[in-house]
Amino acid sequence: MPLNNEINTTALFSIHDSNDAKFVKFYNYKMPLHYTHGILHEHIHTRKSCSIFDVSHMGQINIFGIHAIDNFKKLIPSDLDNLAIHNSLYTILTNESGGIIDDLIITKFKDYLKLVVNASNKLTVLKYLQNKLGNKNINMLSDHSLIAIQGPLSQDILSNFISGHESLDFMSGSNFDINKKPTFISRSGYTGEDGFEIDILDEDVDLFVRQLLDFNDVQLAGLGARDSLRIEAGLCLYGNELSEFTTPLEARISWVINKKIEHNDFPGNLMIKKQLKDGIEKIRTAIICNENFIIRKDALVYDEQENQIGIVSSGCYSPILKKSIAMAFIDKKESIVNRNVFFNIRGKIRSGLITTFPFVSHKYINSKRKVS
Amino acid sequence: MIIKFTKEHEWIKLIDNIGIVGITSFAQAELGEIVFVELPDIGLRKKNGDEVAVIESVKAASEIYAPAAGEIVEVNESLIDNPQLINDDPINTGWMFKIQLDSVNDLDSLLNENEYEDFIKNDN
Repeated sequence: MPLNNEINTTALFSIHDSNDAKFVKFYNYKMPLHYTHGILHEHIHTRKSCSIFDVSHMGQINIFGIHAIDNFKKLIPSDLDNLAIHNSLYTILTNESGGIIDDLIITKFKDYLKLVVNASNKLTVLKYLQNKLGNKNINMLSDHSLIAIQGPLSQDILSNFISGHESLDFMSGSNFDINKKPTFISRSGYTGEDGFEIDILDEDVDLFVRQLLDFNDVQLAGLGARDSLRIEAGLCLYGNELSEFTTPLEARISWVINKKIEHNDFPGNLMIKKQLKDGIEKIRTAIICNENFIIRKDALVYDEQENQIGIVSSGCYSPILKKSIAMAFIDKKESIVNRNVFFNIRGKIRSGLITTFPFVSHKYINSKRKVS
Repeated sequence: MIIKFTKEHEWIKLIDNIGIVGITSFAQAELGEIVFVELPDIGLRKKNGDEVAVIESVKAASEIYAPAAGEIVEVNESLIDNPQLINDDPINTGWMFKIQLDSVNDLDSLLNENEYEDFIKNDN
């Protein structure tokens, strides 16, 4: 791929390159789609063992100052006040019509908040926050890498470097020194597996990843496996399931909305309250197929009478189920579990079945509360 | 034995007037891991360029065309359960179908091995 100055690479580029990464342009980053063994292998390896994902292309934004933090709380539908220090939550920024500007993870620190936002949206979100909260209280980190270590062996592998991480619950974190350098590690990820995300300085990440790769059980995994893993886990991707024209109810992530919504005046709250009261027209729906074809993004979904009832937002081959799986936005009244739906694939009518999320169950570690 | 190639990255080996057809090593590498294969019914008649089979890889779906006119006489059933044979060994055990050619001369216009090598070098 020809590169120009506008295409960025991460601090792990030389490791990707020396591991024969097949690169893909992802927004303005050159990122690994997969490595030597391919997407299927990396996907299954993550579910059985331990994979490293470079997610440094995502934006890390800090918000500091009591006033700015208080104002930020009014921009999201979730409750930050009851979030403990070093814990994280998944939420969204909404626009005035209840659509989604971005989905993000917020981690609370003593005197600031850290946001991890999508690579595709980081400049939009930065401008939006600067506009709402003022330039001086917002800082986009430019020298931090972010890696995700995912899979059932992740905790054991990390035990070679640190201790104390075993007691972390899903979406909680702490400061750890690795190679005598500071990192922040949270038990999180976007694959449905147990795992950790590590915020580490660019200058320290290369050594750490090389050390991780010295373990036989650890392999690199690229964006291809990251996508099929999150689809199996039933998780949304901005640009596919989430957009400025999709509300959290439609995307089936209404759990991000604080139960005390009547006291909550985040942007678009009127539309969302209306939807909570009156219902919605379309909803993100899980579809599984037994036939030999893959349902891909933008495929149209039909009922038995060949009326269009929806459109596919993400689809892939599930390496765990060995079947084709998809998420589609379907007319709410047609979205009924165990109902057959139909596709026109290269001129042939093929069927699928509406099922429930997730396609593959989550393996999150949580001692205190149930996580859906 | 004669082996010829198409610009759609298929190969065809000729044994008497039966052509054995599959995709090239270059094509399987571009497609990535193959997860489903849809094979034609035996006895179907195909014209040159007709769609005969479909390969679904993790990345994309890809149609396979008849490299010459004829009748489908056999398909590689082992691909149904083991589609990755195409990735592992595309020009031997990963063959897809056999076609009884109307005219062996139809293969004259296809590329020989050197011409195909040049084609993928120049085209990519």
